[in-house]
Amino acid sequence: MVLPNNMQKNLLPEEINFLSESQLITIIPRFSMKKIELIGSKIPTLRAMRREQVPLWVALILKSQDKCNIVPPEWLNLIYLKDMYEQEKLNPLQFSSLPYNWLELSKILLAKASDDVADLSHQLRSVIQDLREIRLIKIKNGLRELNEANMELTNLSLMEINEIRPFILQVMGKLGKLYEASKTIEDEEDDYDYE
Amino acid sequence: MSYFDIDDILASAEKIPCKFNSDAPGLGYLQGNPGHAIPKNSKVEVPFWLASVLVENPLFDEDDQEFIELGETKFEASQFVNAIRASGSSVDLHLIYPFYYDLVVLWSKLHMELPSGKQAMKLLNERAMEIYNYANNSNKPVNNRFLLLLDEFEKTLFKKASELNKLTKHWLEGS
Repeated sequence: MVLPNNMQKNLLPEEINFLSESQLITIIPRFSMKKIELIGSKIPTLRAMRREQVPLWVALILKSQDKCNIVPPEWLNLIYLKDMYEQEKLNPLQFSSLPYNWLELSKILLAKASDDVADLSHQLRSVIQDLREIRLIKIKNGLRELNEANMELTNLSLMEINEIRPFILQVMGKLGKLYEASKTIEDEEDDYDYE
Repeated sequence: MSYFDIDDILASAEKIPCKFNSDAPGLGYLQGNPGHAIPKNSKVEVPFWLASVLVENPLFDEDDQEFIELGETKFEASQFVNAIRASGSSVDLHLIYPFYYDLVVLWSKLHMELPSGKQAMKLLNERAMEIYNYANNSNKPVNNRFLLLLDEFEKTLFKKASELNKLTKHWLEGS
């Protein structure tokens, strides 16, 4: 293939960003518009001041023209995120249950619709940064426990998985080879017994 | 093991110590002694691919002695084992065998009873974390001894991890 190696089996952060723009989000439009059927999703009939769910990319276009307000998702507020951060600290072996695209959504919303978010955006940014860092540290510590067969990824977001995927895959592949090679004759007989 | 994997080919060209069980006429160049024979019982380092054939073929038909006997490789030496036990991340794999992990896989196929595979797995686990740590800080000028100790496989790991980290950082900081 013509694509460089690092783009073949992995997504770019920009691509993940793009994917998360198809997520539905609630808006409060300031104008009325007939509904539009799109391939895969649709824009419902919009009436001024009536809440509707539209894909995020539509919401961003309308927002940039000042034709709507975006209702931020319920997890995007200081209290909830701080609570998640506390949970991360309390359970060093678990990831807190943030949405699978929390990094992308929060980045997009803070950049393009910061006036719709109730809390101060610099405070949100700093708590998101804290969350990201504590989760990165956990991922790093998880590398020590890596084995050839499985890995626990519960509650990790797409972006975070994407960031470590090629690295982890290579290490696990090599561990698998070494594991196969390190099987002694007795181990193989043991395996045979179970069958 | 794949036929087209260059790392695999290079790994099988790593030299390992062994002992000849008979005179080998004309092979003196392996010892740096061209034109002469290798005398019986002399210790020579030969590439893995050659040793693996010689060690599996008997000297004569109906004879249980093979051409060569395998010696102790550097990763089985007690010095190396102790060094790993002390601190896996400060072992100089690049100096010992630049294709350590591949060689261990090849080697274990010959010597099924040896623990070197499990030892390599433990070592890789420990070093993977260290490599990831360094890769995450690779936007600063890297001037660290640790990177010189990596074997070839670990180098590709490092490259991949730092590349991805750069991309993600770039995305996070961009507008």
